[in-house]
This record gives sequence, structure tokens and C-alpha cells, in this order.
Amino acid sequence: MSEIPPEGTVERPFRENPPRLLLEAHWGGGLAVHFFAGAGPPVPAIPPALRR
Amino acid sequence: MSYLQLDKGFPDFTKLVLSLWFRVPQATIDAVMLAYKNRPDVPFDGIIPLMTFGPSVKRKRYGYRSIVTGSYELQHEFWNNGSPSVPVCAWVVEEDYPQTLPIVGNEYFFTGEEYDIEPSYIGIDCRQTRGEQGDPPVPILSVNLQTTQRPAAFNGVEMGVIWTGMPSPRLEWWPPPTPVYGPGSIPICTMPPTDAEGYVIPVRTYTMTQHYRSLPLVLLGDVPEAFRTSTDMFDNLGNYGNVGRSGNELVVVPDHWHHVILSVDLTNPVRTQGEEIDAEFPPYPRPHGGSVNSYCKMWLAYDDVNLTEGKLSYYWPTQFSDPNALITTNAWRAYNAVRNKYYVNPPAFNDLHGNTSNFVGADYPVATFEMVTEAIKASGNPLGIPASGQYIDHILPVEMAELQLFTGVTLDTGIEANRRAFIDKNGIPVSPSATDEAPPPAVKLLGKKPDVLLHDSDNWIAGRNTGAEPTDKPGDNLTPTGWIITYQPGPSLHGAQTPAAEPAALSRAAAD
Repeated sequence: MSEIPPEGTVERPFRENPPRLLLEAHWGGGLAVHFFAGAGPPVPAIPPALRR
Repeated sequence: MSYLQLDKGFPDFTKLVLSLWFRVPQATIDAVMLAYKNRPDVPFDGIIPLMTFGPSVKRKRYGYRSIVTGSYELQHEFWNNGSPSVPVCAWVVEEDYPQTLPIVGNEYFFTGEEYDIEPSYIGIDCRQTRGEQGDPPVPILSVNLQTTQRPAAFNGVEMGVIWTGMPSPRLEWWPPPTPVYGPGSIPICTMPPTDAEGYVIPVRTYTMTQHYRSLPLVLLGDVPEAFRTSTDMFDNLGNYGNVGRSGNELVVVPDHWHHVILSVDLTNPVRTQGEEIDAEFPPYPRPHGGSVNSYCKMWLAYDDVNLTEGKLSYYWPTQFSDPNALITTNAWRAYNAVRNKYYVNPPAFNDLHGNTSNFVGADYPVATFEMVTEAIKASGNPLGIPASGQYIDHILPVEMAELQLFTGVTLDTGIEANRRAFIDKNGIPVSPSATDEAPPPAVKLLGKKPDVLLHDSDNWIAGRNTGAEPTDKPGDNLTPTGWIITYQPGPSLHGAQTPAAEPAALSRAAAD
């Protein structure tokens, strides 16, 4: 009963059960993106199971 | 996060088509205007980058100084009205005269320092680049395609005069002669003869000779040529040459999506020539410049409106026949340079000091500019969105969407059907994705796949280039640094422009 998805199926669990911050980051999805100033805030940690 | 970088850049180009949606928050514009300090040696001072590419180039710092170019003898005489110790009713040499004085000229010179300026970029120029002196600055979209070339030939601009010939001795007096009256209000002495206007009739004739030095090499050779939309005409001396010219129409409304389609054709050489006139008082402003013998082209549609002539670029040669003509910064200066025959050899004149002055101007040539245009360098240096890591301090919060970049092709944005491959009649993006039935409209129109395509927020966030030959090789995709998040509302000219509610992640991140 591993929670690690098989290769190539990352998208589905990522979308179905994203970490909270990433859910907000993907607020609505769509075409456009927002860039932050400078190097921006650090990338939120993604659980290993959800890494591409 | 904060930027995407494609280390290898994209192919060098003489032809380009680019389509991009962007949105700039008011707070970003406020921040860059507040920070702007008119520092030419700080790249992107007053400019919000959206995209940078190509090599950074150096500008040479120059100064302005006085130099001694020779000497002349100065004679002061007065009209003796009555002193008995010297000849009466005659010119008398003042004490301590004649004197030998230096002839002082001015020159521009390179200080030996060099500093970095911006590479090629697309950005928002928040310096005062349009309107009149004292107007509040208006943010405008600005395109800078930076070459590494300096002009092959350039001469004759009427900048800088060195005096090397002066009369010897040159006569001056002060104060001018006035009558002195004796008893009975009878003048003690007759006055020197004057003309009808009361000026002393010239008592001697001299010739002034004017020499020109090749100052354009300093003034105009300080920075490599660039193809631009807005002016770069400010210099080390604090002169901001664009003020007073209306400039282009690329005004960026804050907190509102904008769309730009840019195309250039830089295959032709750039050759311009200044104007020759013969007038003591030339009309000002002059209606046009000299002649354009060879030029490049730019097409630009902003928010689905095709722009031409002066609305297209500051460097459109005024009144030129081709509304899409584009010349480089110094080619434009040569085009606007004047050789005024009247001042090369004006008529002899009374200089009001009792001299007839023959002025001999150096017969300088009409300004000419020539440059064989090389491809704009975009490979070998990173493409950065909004800027590459080298300019990380100048990256500010912006929103972007739907980047399509094609090299090797051009597009006339004046044809509505061409614009419809990128933006539909309702002002929303046309998808750059292929369908089962048809290739993407832009690909069909231009006959090739984009070199860079960023479509869909997921691909932006990952830096995935789904253009010409999408691969999984790291070097073919853009590397994201920091946190890039999706943004809504999505790009549109007439739809919702502000988020219903600010995403919590965005406000939290901004507070970090």
C-alpha cells in the first residue's frame, strides 16, 4: 500500500491531494502566473511523494 | 517564485515575432518610481523587466571639460574726451593692454570608466519618457533590442566647436564712448563716427576661424547601437533628451492585462543622413530630419491596436514614408543633425566693438550614419523572465501569460487577421495549442513552431518550454527559481482585471 505513485502518474495525486500551500498557489489554475520580487519567497516543501 | 531562466537563450535573430500577455500591479510601478534615481550606470533603474536576453553591454562614461586651444591678443582702447595728458579726441590704449589671453574651448572626453547597461529587454519604462518637462512619469511598455555594434561610419554632427583662430589684437572697450561737455554744454571733443543705429563704425577688420573636432566619436560612440521603442536619450550630464516629445502610445495601465505582439525585420543595413539647410533662423521645431537611405522595420500591436509612426517608436524617422520604419538610436541622431550653410560662412558683421568680423566656419560635412545590421544576439546568454539571475535585484512582482516567441519570421500587425492568431476579437488569448483538427493558429500563420512557448500556468511554474521541440532535457527548458504561482483573473482586455479575493498564499508570501 505504497502512497508513492508509479512513474508518470504524478499529476493525478498532485491535483487530488496537494499540500495546502500549493493548493492556494494553484488558486484557480489557468493561464497566468505571478512572479514575486527578487528571488521571491522560498519554494514550499513538496512531500517526496508528490515530487515530479 | 521569482524568475525563469533559459541558460542557453534562444537563436540569434534578425526577424522575430513575439506575443505576450502581462499585467503590472500598481504597487510595482509605485515601487520602481520611488526607487528611480536616474543612475545610468545601474541597469534597469526605473525599468520593470518582463524579459531579458542577450549579452550585457558596456557604456563608456564621458565628461565635458574646458581646454586651451591657443592664445590671442586683446586690446582695450577708450575714446579720450578731454584728458590733456594724452591725445584728445582720439582712441587711446588702456593701461596694461594689449594682453595675451588663452583661447578656451570645450570638449567631451572619455573618462576611461565603463559600466554595464541593460541587455536586450522588454519591460516597463517608468522614467519620464514621454510628455513635457514636469509631467508626472507615465509607465510605458519599452522594447530594447541591443546590438553589440557601433556605427561603421558617422560624422558631421554639429556638436562641439573649438575656436582656434581669433583676431590679433582683438579690439574691445568698456564702457562705450560717451560725450563729455564743457562750458555752455558744448562737447569738449567730437565723438568717433557711428552708423545710423549708433554703433561705432568699425575701425578694424578681423577674421575668426572656427574649427570642428570629431566629437561625435565620443558623444555617439559611448554605447553600442540599439533598436528601441522609447528613448534612451539621457546622458551622464543629466540631460534627458526625450522631454517635450510626445513619444509612443504604449501606456501601461496598472492592474490591467495588456497584450503585445512585436515583430521586427532587422535584415537591412541602417543608413541615414542629416539635413542641410541655409537659414539664419531655421524653423523650430524642424518638421523633419534628413534622409533615410536604408532602414529596418518594426510592427507592434498593443492591446490589439496596431501602432505605427511616432506611436510605434521614438526612433521612427519623422515624416518618413514607411510607417513601420525603425532606425537605431544614433542613426536617428544623424537623421536629425543639421548642417546649416548659413553659419558655416555667414556674411561679415559688425561685432559692436568696432570690429568688422569675418567669420570662417569649418566646412563640416553633413552627418551620415551607416551600420550593417548583425543579428541580435540571444543565444549563449540566458533568457530571463521577468529577468535573468544577473538582474535579480530588479525583478518586481508582475503577472504574465501566454508567451510565444518565433525567430526567423515577421508579422504585419496592421492586418487584423494576423492579430487574430494571437488574440481574438473579444480580447482574450487564442490558444497556442494544437487541436485534433488543426495546428495552432500562430504556427499555421507563421509556418513554424515557436522557439519559446510558455502556455498554461503549470508550464510557466515548471518552466516547461512547449515550443519547437519540447524535450525533457534540462537545458531545453527554463529553470524556475523561487516560487511562481498561478494568477487569476486570467489574461483578457475587457474581462475581470482584479482578483475576487487575493489568494492567501500570495499575501502570505508577500508578508514573508
